[in-house]
Amino acid sequence: MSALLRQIGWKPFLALAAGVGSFSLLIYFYLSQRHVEYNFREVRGHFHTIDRNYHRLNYAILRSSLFAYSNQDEITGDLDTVKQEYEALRKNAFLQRDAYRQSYRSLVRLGEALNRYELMLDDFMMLNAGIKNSFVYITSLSADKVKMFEQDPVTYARILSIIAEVSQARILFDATFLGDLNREVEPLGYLSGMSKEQAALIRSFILHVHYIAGNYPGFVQNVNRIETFDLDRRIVELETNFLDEAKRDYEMLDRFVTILAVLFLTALILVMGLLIRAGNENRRLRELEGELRHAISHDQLTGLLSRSRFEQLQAEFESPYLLLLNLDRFKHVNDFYGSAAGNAILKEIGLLIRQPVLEPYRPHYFRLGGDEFGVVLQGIDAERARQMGVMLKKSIEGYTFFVDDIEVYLTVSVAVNGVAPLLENADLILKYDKARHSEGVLFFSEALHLKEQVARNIATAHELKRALDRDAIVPWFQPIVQLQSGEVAKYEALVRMVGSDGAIIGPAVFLKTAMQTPYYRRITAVMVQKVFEAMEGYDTRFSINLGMRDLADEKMVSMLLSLLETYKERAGRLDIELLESEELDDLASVKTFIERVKAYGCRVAIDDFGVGYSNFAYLMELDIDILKIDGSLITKVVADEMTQHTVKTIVRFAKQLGFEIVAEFVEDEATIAVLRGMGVEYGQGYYYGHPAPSPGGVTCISRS
Amino acid sequence: MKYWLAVIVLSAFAPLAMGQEPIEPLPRYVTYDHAKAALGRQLFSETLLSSDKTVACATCHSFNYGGADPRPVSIGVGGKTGNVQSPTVYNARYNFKQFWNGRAASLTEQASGPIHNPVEMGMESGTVARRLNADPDYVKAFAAVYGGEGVTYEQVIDAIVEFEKALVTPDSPFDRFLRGEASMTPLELEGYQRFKAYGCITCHNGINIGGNSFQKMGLFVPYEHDEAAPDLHAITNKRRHVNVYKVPTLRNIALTAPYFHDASSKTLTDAVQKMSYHNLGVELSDKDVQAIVAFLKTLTGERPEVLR
Repeated sequence: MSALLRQIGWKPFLALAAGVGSFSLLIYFYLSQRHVEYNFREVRGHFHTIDRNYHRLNYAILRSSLFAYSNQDEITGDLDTVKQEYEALRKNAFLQRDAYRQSYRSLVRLGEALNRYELMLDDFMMLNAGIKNSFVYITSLSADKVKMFEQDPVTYARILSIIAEVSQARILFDATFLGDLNREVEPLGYLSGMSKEQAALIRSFILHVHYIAGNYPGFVQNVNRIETFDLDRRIVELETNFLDEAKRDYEMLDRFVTILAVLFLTALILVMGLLIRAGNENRRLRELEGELRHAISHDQLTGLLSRSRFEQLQAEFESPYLLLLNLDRFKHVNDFYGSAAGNAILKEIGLLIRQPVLEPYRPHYFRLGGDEFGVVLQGIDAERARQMGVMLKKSIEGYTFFVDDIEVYLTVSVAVNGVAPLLENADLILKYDKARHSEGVLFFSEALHLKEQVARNIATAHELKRALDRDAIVPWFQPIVQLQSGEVAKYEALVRMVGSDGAIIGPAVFLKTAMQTPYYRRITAVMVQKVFEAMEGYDTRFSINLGMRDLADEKMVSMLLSLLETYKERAGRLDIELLESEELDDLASVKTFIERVKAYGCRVAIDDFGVGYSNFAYLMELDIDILKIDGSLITKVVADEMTQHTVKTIVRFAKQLGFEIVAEFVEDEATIAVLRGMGVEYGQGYYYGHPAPSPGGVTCISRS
Repeated sequence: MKYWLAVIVLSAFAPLAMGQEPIEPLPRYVTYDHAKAALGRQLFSETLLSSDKTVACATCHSFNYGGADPRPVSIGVGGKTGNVQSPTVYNARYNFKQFWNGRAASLTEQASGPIHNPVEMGMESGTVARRLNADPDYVKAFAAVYGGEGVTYEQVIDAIVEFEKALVTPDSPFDRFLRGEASMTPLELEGYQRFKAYGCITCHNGINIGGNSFQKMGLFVPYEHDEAAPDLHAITNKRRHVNVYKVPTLRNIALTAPYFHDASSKTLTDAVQKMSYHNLGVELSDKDVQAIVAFLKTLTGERPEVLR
């Protein structure tokens, strides 16, 4: 689980968290906004109701003051509504928030104004009732009953004029039209001689006139005051404050929206950026892919197709021929001139091999190895392919490569192969070619049975291993005889392998192959071991064969030394015959080896001297004791004069340096005579005895 | 005289033709919570709600006397007397305020008044609840209506108020006349006309024929003032509020003698004469009074349905 999380990484989770966060924010914003809207509208609704009912109230009040009959339920009803709306606003949680402090204060002031208004209204109602009744009484009732005073014109006129004044004031709603009513009505209080009815009328009349005179001006003022009461102002003030403060809520929402918008844009830009980046990376990856593909299928240095590409294309070639070109000793060019020069040369070869004459055969050009090039031709016959191979070889070998202005020439081995697998078979003949040091272009044919060679190598290695396991490596011994006396001086141990069928197999068959396996060391060790074992019971010397090349192998050297140590007392009777080889660079190790074995009392011989790479310098450099003249010289020493001279020279040289001399391949008496005449001390060969499984298998040959 | 009659008849019917009488008929049916009202009815007559268990709401607001008290002042717990004539509980929901001086803004506010008043029922809210909770029947009844774990004082008030809201007396002869369902006698009609013409209707208007404003008792001719009387002055202490009371309803007035806050008039005739003298500044003729009284008698409505 945690591995999966680590693979996903933290970024997606961050994005998820950001997404969830902003989504929650969005929802919160939506809810806030809705909440604000809702409350805003509710509060506004209350304002409108208050406003509306307040104006209805004013209307009802006015109506009540003008109309004789009015239903005061309207007034109380409207006022109640206003008060209820006010209460609702007071309780509204929205307005109690800090942001609406001003509004709330306005609301409180409105409440106070409302209370004052209510009181004013109550007073108005009281006054209104009285005033209305008085007016009604005076204007309507008195109009008829006043006829009672028709007989008294003065009184009658007085009464009528008062009625007229009152009416006018009433209609105009203006108290100034009343004049000085009290003074005018005063005489009526002194009337006498009236009937009960008249008296009653006058009494009421005076009462009402006084009432009107006293209360109407105040009443008009009261009505005006109610009309101009600042309740309206308070309502407006409340609304204004509310709108102002609500704006702040909306501003907050606006800011919120802005933040959200910014977040959204940021996210958008982020996404776009990421998409663009992803697109770019994709493109880069594809480019990279292309480059990689090219890199894999092409050799970077020369631009030719690569080996892996060759393997890919193999199946597609139609009856192809592979021309495998291997540069000879190119390592030397690299070492001598430097790898920069080497690379430049390789590049040039890459161009060289692209010959126009190859075009018709759909050529594919490959660099198959460090110093190996390949050209695959299709639709071509064997002979033509071979000719092309020759042509390529000539063109490279005939070309002058330049390192600065130094001329460099190369030789190349060419293998032509049309048999699948193309490269493997071409490789085989190339190695075969190199091994045999032949010239020209090598043509693969199955008749060469090169593969069999490989199989044989493997088989031999197997046999060796088995032989070692079976302890089938045994030394056979050939006597070395003193020429004068004919006595056996020592035995040379020669390696033999006992086949599983009991047949004895000589080193010519397996030793060369063995040298390329790790079993060689074991073989040598076994040989030395067995020789030491065989020494028991004999007091002659024994010799073993070693290649000088072997002495470069530290493991081999230490193994030999430890054996010498083990068989210390017999080591003094051991001769070590060293065989030269061409690749000996490390003279020092040979010298060291010789010193050490000599410390044990061994003696050292040079084997097969006189042919091949014989080097007199060796004899001087190394602390040698014995010289063994190569058999090929000895066999000709009787017949060939040149050989005679050569052998004589060698003998004289050896004697001067104090070397013991042994002649190999001694096969007849004539040879022995000649050798004796030269002064050769020892001889070895079929004349004296064939190699045998044990030293005692040879009888002493008597002097003839 | 003929002129008078014409004026009367025309005045009577003209507004009707216009449909704008300042008096509204009571609604035939009122909606209320029947379960609560039933409980409230029980509580209304529950003497447990008084300290010495002698007095219930119905004692002073009796359904046999138009929802009021025939005595000049009511008698509370321990035989204590009050300071004012008990007003009717019928149609009280239509008053703009409650009590003679309007100190209660609603029925709910009013209901606690007599309960806590030491000369009326003399109870504390806690005691009320305790007493009712001690009665398993009440506990069950309240639980059925209000749910909850026990009786609370607020629930008691709520039930009583719901009951009071149902105490409406519709279909008085005048209401039916206003709806055009019935006619009135000429005397009654004349009485209504005079009621309007003289200005009685200036204060006694609306659905409750009163109860929608404060007015001075003794507007034109001053009325005697009793310091102990619960007038508006007792609340505001303003000179101009002396003898100022909420205008009482004239509905069922024929049932609620004696009249005025001080119960100083025992008959309608006397009340009408007093009213017109003090508050209209007019001495009505006997004829006028007769007609008006006849009209006033048409204001008696049916017994509330909730009481049947």
